[in-house]
Amino acid sequence: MPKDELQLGEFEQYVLLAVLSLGKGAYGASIRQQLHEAIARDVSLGALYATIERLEKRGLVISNLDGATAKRGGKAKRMIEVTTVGRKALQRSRQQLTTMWDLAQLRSIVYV
Amino acid sequence: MSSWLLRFCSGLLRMCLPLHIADALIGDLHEEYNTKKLDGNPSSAQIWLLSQTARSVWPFLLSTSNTLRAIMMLQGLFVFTILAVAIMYLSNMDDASRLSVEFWPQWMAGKPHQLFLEQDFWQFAFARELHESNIQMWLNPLSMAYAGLAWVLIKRAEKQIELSLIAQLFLVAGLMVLPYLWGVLIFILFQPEIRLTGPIVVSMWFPVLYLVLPLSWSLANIVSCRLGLN
Repeated sequence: MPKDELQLGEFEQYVLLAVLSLGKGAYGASIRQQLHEAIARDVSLGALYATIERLEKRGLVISNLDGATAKRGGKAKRMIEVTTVGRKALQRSRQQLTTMWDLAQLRSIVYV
Repeated sequence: MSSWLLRFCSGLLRMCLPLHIADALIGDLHEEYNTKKLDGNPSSAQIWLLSQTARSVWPFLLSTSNTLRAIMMLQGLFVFTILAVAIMYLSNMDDASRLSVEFWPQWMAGKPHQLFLEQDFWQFAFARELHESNIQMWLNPLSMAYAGLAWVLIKRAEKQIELSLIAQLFLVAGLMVLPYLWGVLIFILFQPEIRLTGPIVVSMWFPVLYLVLPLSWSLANIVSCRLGLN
């Protein structure tokens, strides 16, 4: 896989991390809820699904339909899982960010 | 009220979103809405539902493929409008001296498109001629037959022959331009009298008029599909 395919945007990273943290229970509403509770991001379901669609096309997540209930108007949940490629992409983003933070701290640009 | 609102929001989302996304998203929307309604104030749940629906529609309406469709349709619409106005302008023209002296020799040389460089056309055509039209004026059997044939050919090429995107674009552009080139050739070879030039120009412009909108839509879909845009 080309290295550019592993580049992740900020929101993509949040979504992938939320999916990982939710384990087997990751679907639209639960991911939205997780993002709201963890980082106070109130995202729309449309923006979330557009991101998931993009991640799925890049092979970073896979999805399958499951769990239709009356509470959901009889509609199935789209369950999301992070693939091995998705995990690698997250690792790479984390390394890049850590490297940049280390550099900034070494040069005393950022005081934290 | 709430079930009506849910149905309205679901219908809107189903209309604007790709089908494989719409069902799961509507399910999530139902689930969160029902939870919010049970937890607290039903009217705030309704406001949440409306705002989520509005915010969810935008990312898909503004997708690359929809933007591309909109641009291509606007281009098509522009060409269609300009051609339609030009046809009405020429059909209703009662005084040939409105146009510059350089125009008519150009017209006789097979360049009717020089009309689009005429000041009178741009200044007065929209204001003066738009109301003077009848349906028969827009029906030209020969051009309709050509447009129908071209449409069938393009659709067949799309389904049966594995043409590259560039080849497909060339085919569409070629079929649009062909009647125009044919008309220019007639002007050059036969040098018809000015009173006989009207039907020739009709056969040059009408196929484009008939084809430009459906082809713009079709092309936008082909390009979106081939480039894998969502």
